[in-house]
Amino acid sequence: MRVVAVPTSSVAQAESSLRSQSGFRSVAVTGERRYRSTTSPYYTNDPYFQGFAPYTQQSAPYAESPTTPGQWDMQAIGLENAYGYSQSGSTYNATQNALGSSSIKIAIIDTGEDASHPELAGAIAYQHCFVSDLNNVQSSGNFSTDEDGHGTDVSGIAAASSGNALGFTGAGGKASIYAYRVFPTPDDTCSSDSGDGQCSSSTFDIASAIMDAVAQHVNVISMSLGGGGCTNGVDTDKTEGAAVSDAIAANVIVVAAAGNSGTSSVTAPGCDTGVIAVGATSLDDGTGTGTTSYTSTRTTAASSTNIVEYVAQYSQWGSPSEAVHSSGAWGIVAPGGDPSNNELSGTADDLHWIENIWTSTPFMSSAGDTNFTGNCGPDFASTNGIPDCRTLIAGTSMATPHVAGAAALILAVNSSYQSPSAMKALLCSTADDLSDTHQGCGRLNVYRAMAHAVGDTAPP
Amino acid sequence: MTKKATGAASPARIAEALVKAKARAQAEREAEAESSRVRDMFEKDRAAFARRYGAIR
Repeated sequence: MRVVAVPTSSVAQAESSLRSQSGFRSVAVTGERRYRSTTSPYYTNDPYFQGFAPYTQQSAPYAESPTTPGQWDMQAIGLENAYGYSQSGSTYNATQNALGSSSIKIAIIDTGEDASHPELAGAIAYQHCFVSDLNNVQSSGNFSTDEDGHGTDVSGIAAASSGNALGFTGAGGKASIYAYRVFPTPDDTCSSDSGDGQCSSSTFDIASAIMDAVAQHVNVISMSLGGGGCTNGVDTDKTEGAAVSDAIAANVIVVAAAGNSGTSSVTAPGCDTGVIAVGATSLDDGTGTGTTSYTSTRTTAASSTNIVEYVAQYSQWGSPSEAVHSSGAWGIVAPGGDPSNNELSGTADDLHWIENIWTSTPFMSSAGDTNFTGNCGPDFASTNGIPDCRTLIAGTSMATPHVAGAAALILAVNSSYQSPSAMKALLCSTADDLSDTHQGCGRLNVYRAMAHAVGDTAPP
Repeated sequence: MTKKATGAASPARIAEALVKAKARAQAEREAEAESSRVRDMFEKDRAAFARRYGAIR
C-alpha cells in the first residue's frame, strides 16, 4: 500500500489520475469510505433517513445523535447519491425511477409482515402464507400480522415507504413488497431462535414461497434465513435447492443471508449457485460501547475521527474469502450491525445497530406484556400521531435486504440487469473495498451501481 | 422328517427381507429428516429499544 500526500485542492485530480492507470488495485482518500459522487445527494422526505448528518468528504461522517434515529446504513451504501440520479445532472439523464418504482417487486420470505405498519401499508402489494403444521398440512391463507417482528424489520430495510414523511426509506425506494410468511406463530420472542421449532421454518414451506414468488413474476427474492449447506453449490436440501434453481433459471434475483456463526462457509440457500450471498458490516468508532474485540480481519484501526467499516465477527464467509470486485466471490457485504455485549443490556451505540421498523403486533406472553414491543410512540414531528414502531437489530438478516433493495432500485432504471449473474457482476464490480479479508467482493455501493445502470458518462 | 409349513420363508429369503426392511427404514429416516429440515432467521441480536430513554426495555 502506498500513501501519497497532495494538496486538498488537487485531491480529486490525483485520485482520478491514479484510477486511470493500470496496476492499482484500489485508490481511496484517507478517511473516506466512498468515492466522490457526480450527483448531489437527494434525501427523500423520510426524517430518519435525513437524521444523520449528510456525508461530507474528508470529515467524520455518520455524526450520531442521542435523540434522533437515523440510517447510517443507507448513507454507507450511498443511497442518497443513488437517489440523486432523479435530479438533473451534466453527465447523465435524470430519471424519477432512480427513486425506485412500484412496478419492481421484492419478495420477502420471512416471519410475516405487519401490513398495518404505516411504513409498509402502502408498499405491500401481495401477501401469502405457507406454514405447515405438525401434520405437515400447509396453510395457504393470507396473514397480515407478524408476531415475531423480524419479517417486518427486513421488509422495512428493503422497501419501507419512501418519501412519505414518516421514519425510514427502504434501499429499494418505491419498490413493491410481495410479503411471504413461512415461520409459524412463535411461542416466545424468538430472541434465541436457533433450534427453536416455533422460530424455525421448514424448507418445504420456503420452497413453496419461492415457487409462488416466481409464479407472481417478482423481480427479486430476499431471504434473511438459512441453515444446512451446499456441496459444490448444490443445496443439500433438494426441495429448497430445486425451488431456488427454478427461480434462478427464471432470471429472478435471489439474495440470501450468509449466516451468523462466524465460520468459513455460507449456509443454504445463500450458498446455492446463482444466489447472491450477503455478509454483514458494522462501524467501529473507537468508543467504549462500540469497540468490539474483533479486529483480525481488517487492517485499519478505528478512532472517533476515523470510523472504520468492517465485516462483523459473526458474519459467515465463503471461498475465496476476499475477491474484491469479482463476481466469482462468495458474495457481497452490506450493513448489518455488530453490537458489543454490553450494549445488549446497557447503552446502545447507534453505529453498531441497524435501526428500522418493527411489528405493531408482537408476541406477548401475557396481556400488557411490554417486552420486545419496540418503540411505537408517535415521537417525531411529522407522524401526525401515527405510531412508528421501530427497533435496533443486527445480523446478516439485516444486511440482506440492503442488497435486495439495491437490486430493485437498479432494476427500476435498467431492466437489462434482470439476471442473477448480471446483477451480481454489477454490484460486485461497483462495491467498496473495505480492506477486510472476509468481505467477498466488497461492500455494496448502490450509488456507484446506479451510476453504471443509468449510463453516467463520468462515473466515479 | 421335518416339513416346512407352506409359505414359510427360507433363511435366504428372511435375510433378503431383513435387508429390504433395513433399507426401507433408512429411506424413511432420510425422508423424515428431509421433511423436517429447517431454516432459522439470521439475526444476531435484537433489542426493542426505547431510544428516548437510552435503555433497552
